[in-house]
Amino acid sequence: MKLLLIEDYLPLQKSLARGLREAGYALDVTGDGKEGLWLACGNEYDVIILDLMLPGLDGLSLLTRLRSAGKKTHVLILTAKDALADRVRGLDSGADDYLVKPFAFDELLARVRSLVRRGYQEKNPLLKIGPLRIDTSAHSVHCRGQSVPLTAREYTLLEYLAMRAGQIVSRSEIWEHLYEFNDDATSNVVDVYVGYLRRKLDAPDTASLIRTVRGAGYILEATQ
Amino acid sequence: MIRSLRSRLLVGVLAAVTCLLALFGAGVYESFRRALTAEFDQSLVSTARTLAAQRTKTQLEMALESLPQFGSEEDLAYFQAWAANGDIMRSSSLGIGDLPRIVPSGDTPVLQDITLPSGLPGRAVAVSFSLQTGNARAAAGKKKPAVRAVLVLAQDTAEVRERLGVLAMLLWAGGAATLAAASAVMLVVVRRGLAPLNTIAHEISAITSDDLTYRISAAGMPAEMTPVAQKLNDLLARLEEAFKRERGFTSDVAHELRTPLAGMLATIEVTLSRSRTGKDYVQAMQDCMTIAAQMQAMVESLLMLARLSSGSVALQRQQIDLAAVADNCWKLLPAPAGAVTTAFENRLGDLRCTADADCMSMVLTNLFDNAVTYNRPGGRVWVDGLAEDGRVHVTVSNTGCTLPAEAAEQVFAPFWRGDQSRTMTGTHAGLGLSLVQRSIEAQGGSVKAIINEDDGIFTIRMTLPGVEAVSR
Repeated sequence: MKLLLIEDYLPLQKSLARGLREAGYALDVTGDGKEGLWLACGNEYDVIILDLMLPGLDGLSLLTRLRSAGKKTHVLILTAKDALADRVRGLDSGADDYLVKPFAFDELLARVRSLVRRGYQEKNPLLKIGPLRIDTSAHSVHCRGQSVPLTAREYTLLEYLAMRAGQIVSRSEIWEHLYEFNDDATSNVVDVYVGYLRRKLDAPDTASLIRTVRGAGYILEATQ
Repeated sequence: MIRSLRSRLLVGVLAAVTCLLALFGAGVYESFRRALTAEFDQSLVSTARTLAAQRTKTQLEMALESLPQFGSEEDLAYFQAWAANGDIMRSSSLGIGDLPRIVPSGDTPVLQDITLPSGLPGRAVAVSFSLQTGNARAAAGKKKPAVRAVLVLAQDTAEVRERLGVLAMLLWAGGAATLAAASAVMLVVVRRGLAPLNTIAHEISAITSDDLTYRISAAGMPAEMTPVAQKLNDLLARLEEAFKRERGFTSDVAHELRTPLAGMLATIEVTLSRSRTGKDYVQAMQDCMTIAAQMQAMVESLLMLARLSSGSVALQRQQIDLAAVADNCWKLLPAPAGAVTTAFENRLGDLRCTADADCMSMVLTNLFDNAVTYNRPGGRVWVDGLAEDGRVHVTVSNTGCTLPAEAAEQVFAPFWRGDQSRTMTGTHAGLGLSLVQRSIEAQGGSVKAIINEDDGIFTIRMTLPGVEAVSR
């Protein structure tokens, strides 16, 4: 899953970026409102974490412009403004959630997960696809009753495929959702990671859970 | 001292009414007493004159007989007459007692208050007259020598006293009744009259610091209360403004502290979320320390602001060499991030002023810090000044200002930052210019920001009054 963090206070930005990346998210970070709007309009993020007091362009204006540009990305406002009027104005400007500073980092992660699920019309944090059981809150995967240890990248890829289970997902979509703006990885890396996942998940002598659709991408399907 | 306005009014008015009633009663009583006494005296004098008109003793006796009251013991009227040679006649009712022998100097009767032989108060009249001695018939034809005699008539004043007593009683009773009635009426009138006070008190008691938008309605209020209501409303307006500012400031402070706090918490939480290398922990600790130092600087600034506002900063005014202070402040300025160099020009010459040295250093350091931070690369900072009419004007200017001219009004507000000023370093809390303003004002001066949009020059102009300035 890919997030955009727009926060101008450097120490907070640094810690949040580290924490979110460690939680397995691909993350683009900026401290400037105008750059934030440009990134948000030009990329497909799962969630945008937005501070309100920003140089260049303030958070609410950014949000209003993003919405009028037709972008439906989930936005979580992260701000020190806790007055009722501020919260109402924030939500009314098109935000999906509102978190007041200071906050517990675990709560931020939980809210981001919730927004990600909403983005894929999924309410249940426990995803079941065939023999797969993915607990999106604990980031744990079971296959045929066996726990499968995955790296953060592998897990993220699997979660994304699972969220879009039954749909063909193109390499570029995967790349967009899993890799950061500054990553110099090529789309070849997607194939490499799909290979890793297959090796860990598939039982010998059975068809792969992740099926390659020639010329289109990959699909994770329940019907095997 | 009576605290209640109503009681005070009541007591005052009732005291006045009592005095007036007493004066009125005393007047009525006195005039009645005089009239009754005069009437009494007149009847006594006319009786005395009638008696004094008698020529002989016999005639006198006969005349006295026609006045039965002088013979009776009950009527308490007495007479006694003295001839030059002694007591000649007295009323039987006198017993062995005597009336005082009052001798009038002329023919005019003399009146006097006396104590009667019965011990009761009475009124006496004395007339002198001539009385022919011997028998009138025997004296016919011959002129008998006349003797000067004095007749004193006395009468008990019981009737007068009785009537005055009734009058006094009537006056007392009337006075008391009037007073009682007046008290009752006053009570009602005062209560009604002071009702608007209760109304206003009730209205005021309903106002809390949570809702200062309430205004006292002056409609239907008596003319005397309208200015009170007006003044109270003005006070409420000022209070509301002050509370609003205070709340705004408090919420600003909370807001400004929340962001670094969130940064610190996030740093700690993320660091603790898994086991890390020692280097990572050291880095996290250093990050937290940086944040804590920023918060400390902000809290110190806020404290300084509060102390300057409350006047609890002891300022030691002394003559200071402004140019030297400015040079020193510039030298001690922390080096700006990156290799951006800003040219500094000190045009203060030998300008001196009387001010608190620490305070002026703090002011100039803050101004220079801003001037460098919000400058353009390769920009300039210069400080200028002049002495004029016992005032010293000092200006600190810098290039590279991108603020609109109308921002000059806002720059001194706590936590105000120009849009571009909110740098990602987070070191500028937006309190520097507030501190400058309060410091200069605490020294009796004034400060103003001037923005020249065309040249991008930002100037802070300080005026320090009442300083012993030596010319440049």
